[in-house]
Amino acid sequence: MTTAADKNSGTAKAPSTTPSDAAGTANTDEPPSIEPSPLELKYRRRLRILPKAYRAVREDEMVATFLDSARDADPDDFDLKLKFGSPGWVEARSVVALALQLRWADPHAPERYQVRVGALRLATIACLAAFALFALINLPAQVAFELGWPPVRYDGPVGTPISTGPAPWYVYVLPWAFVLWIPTPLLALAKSRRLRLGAVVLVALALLTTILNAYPNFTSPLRLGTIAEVLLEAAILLGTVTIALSRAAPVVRWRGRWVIGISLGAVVLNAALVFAISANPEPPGADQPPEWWTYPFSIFTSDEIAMWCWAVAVAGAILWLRRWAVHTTTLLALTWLAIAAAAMRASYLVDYFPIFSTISPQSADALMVSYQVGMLIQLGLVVAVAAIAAAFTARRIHQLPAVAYGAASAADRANSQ
Amino acid sequence: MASYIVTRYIRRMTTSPVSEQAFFVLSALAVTPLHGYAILSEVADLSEGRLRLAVGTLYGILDRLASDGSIELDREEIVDSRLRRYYRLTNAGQNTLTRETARQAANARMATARLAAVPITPYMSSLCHALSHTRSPSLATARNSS
Repeated sequence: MTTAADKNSGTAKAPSTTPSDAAGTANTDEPPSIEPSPLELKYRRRLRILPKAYRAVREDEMVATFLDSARDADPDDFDLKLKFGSPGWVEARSVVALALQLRWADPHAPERYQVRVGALRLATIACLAAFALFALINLPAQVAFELGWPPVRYDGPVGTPISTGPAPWYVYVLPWAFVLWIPTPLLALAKSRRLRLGAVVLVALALLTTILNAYPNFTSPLRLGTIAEVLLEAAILLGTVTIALSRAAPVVRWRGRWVIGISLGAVVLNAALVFAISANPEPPGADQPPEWWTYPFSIFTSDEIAMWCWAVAVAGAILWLRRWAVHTTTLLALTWLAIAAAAMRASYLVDYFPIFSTISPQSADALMVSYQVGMLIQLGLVVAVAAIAAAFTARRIHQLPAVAYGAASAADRANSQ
Repeated sequence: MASYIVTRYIRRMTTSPVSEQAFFVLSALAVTPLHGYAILSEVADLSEGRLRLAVGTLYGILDRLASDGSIELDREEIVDSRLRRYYRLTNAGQNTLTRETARQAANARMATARLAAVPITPYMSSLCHALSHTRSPSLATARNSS
């Protein structure tokens, strides 16, 4: 067995090392003079997924370490390996893990990365809280529906016909899948990593049920709304995984409690208005036109995306009133949420536009028009919030220090923070 | 932001146990400053081939240990036109390694005492025989004495 001193001096497993090298002559300014081998080029290509600033500091060192270990693993055929070999999947996996760690899990990462990580956590927690709230709102209605208590459930102008007769078991189970969201925000905020992993499992199951729910639609033209919903839940799953794998639980700042409270209040108000409309005995599609006073309320459509749109709009209004005196992380999270809400609203508009055009104009024309106007108003509000927040976020991020790394200067970065 | 990082990350990291990989890296650097490849080889030797770190994994660990202040850059060299950076253990790193070694030793003593009270099985017998020929004879000694 070679000793550490042997390897350190480069004489044990690096026979080409010169005595001057072994003596420890530092000469960092000397440019590489050897033509890079194909193996080295392949490894450098693998390293491209690392942050550029990190590569500027670490790439040469990592390549040297990789080539030394490749030579150690197969000294007889090393020349052949240099020409025809490629980095193994273990090395590739470790580089991918390092790239993820640097960008999303390094507590001493450059400030730009920290802003992004913080925004992902905040947006994820906001999404989990919103989904949990939607589920809590929907729970009594679902229970009442199962008990055959009809006046409570209201599906809006575009209701789904209720089929009767025998059905597969999942038809009875999937409608209850939304309850999976209820405990997720509390689990994601837990100090125990095991509990945070529990949130990951629940979100993954919820995503799976969303896909299963959408399965009948795969036989017909796929709805844009379904795709947007699946993508959003997949993004939430990734955010929850990031939270679960990080060392510490996310912290909800008490200072922002009122912002969250007012946003959620808007959602609850919206839900209350929807239920108020549901008490109207003239649902859309009936022979008699609805009462005139229901038209303005139809802006508050019953779907969760509408609630979300209003929450984002209210959050944007609050931030505007505070003259953007908020952290860049919050702005970035709001930008992402607004983009997600706008994408969802737009996709639903596209999906439902043909349905609107087929509804009898004698019965519900005015209501339908106001319904579409309401959706467009929501879309416009959210797009405006997204655009303004994105502009401010870009300016703020541009003002942050550029991403930079040192060879062993992470401690310096930590101290400077 | 700074207070958040200190309270939620740094304080936890200083009080949480060191991972096995980081423990071996610290052990490898305990004797003398080493460069990346030498650390990989030393870790493989120290773990008797059980732990073979990939390059990406190694530099993730080195970054974390440097963030903790457990290691620092010793010097840089160019060997065969390739850059080598040598890392050394800091005083904080020595303290971390000492504390972790004591913790693991205490755990090993506790487990050894518990195993000594258990009726011996053929598997344990073979394990004790194997251990008696390695550098960890405490379990074998405990079994033989019982």
